[in-house]
Amino acid sequence: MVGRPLDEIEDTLVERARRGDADAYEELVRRYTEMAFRAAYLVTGSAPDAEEAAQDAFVKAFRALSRFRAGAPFRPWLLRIVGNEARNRRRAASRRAALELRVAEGIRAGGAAPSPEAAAEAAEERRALLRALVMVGDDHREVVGCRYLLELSVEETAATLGIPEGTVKSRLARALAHLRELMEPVRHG
Amino acid sequence: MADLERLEARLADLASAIEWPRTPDLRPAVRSGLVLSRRRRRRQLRLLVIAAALAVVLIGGAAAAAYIELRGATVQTVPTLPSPAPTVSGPIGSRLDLGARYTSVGAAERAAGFRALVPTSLGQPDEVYFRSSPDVLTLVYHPRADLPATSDPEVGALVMMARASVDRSSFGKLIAPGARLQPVTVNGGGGFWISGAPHGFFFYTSGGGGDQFRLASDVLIWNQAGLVVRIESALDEPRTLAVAGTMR
Repeated sequence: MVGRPLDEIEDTLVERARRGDADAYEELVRRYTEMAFRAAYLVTGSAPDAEEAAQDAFVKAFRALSRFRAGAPFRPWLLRIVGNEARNRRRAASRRAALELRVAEGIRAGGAAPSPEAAAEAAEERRALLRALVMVGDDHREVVGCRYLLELSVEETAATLGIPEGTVKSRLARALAHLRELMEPVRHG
Repeated sequence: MADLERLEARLADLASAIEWPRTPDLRPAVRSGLVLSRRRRRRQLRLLVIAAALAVVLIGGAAAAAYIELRGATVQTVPTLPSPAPTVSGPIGSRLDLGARYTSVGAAERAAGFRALVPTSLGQPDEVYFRSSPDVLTLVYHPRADLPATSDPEVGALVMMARASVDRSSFGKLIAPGARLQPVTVNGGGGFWISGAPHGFFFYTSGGGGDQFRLASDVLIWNQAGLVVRIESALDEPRTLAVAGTMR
């Protein structure tokens, strides 16, 4: 999740793109479309807005590559642009769209196949956690979503949300505490 | 602490089970924006050739040449048109050098930083683009019963707009004998109806030079709401003016 090793292939792609190689940039777009789209979705709560935000971010990032510091990590730099675009769209909307996430059925964490009862219990726990995540409020949901659902680093989360890394950590601590409170009835009920 | 670890483990488990909205393939839309940049370098060379051709035309017909200024556009009459740039294949945005494609007018407006004028009589466009250097937002309408195809079989109408700066043009036009230049007023703004013969159309780049140009058919161009707007279509003057009258 954190301390991602420097990706030499990515560095090469970024350097080629900086020199105007559109094919190299297209490969970067392919690599990061899912991450950019989902990060934008967490912020906007709207799939069409997230698509537009991610698209605009990729185009703007290409134009801004000349200002990208060689050797710096590309992901947080890109996520900062994605986050800006997504927040701009959220501000432009009269009201924030309700984030709609669902839990896929039939997913198991690994290891031996669970009993039907255990699988049903795991699925219910996931749904309960997701319901709690919807209830914790936008700021907390965004920071938890970036860190745990998208598996972004603290630096990347800060870039996406446009807040300092220290704020990410403190907000995350409060969000997790809030989630634990909300999950109490489920765990002991 | 154990509770926190358990919660983190459950969040990690949840991450593997989340059903996200389908991730779109953004490469085509992003690529159209990149094509612009990729072609720019090639164009720098072509620009030298075009500039030389223009110089020959202007020197040869200096007495006949005249400039007509709109805010944000320059219309220049010349004795003969230089050869246009070769036709480029590919999707509309690439062929006409319109920049990056956007999924909605609103998205293109945000990229452009100005509000677009949309002809309500034509409805929402089929495609929307925005290119920078110069900043031009383009609405593309496909041919339909009330909108015959232009010389491009996939284009019924192009509605382009840019900020109407008094000291910098976004659109440039070269018209030769045979083309008519009719002053008009559209929604209170001055403009011209250019018809009768193909004319050269090009974008002014940020450096103030001309981009490669293409041949355009009948065009209405005018100033409205701080913008310079052009409509290129196969419609005649009254019908084009009627469409322009519904720009909101």
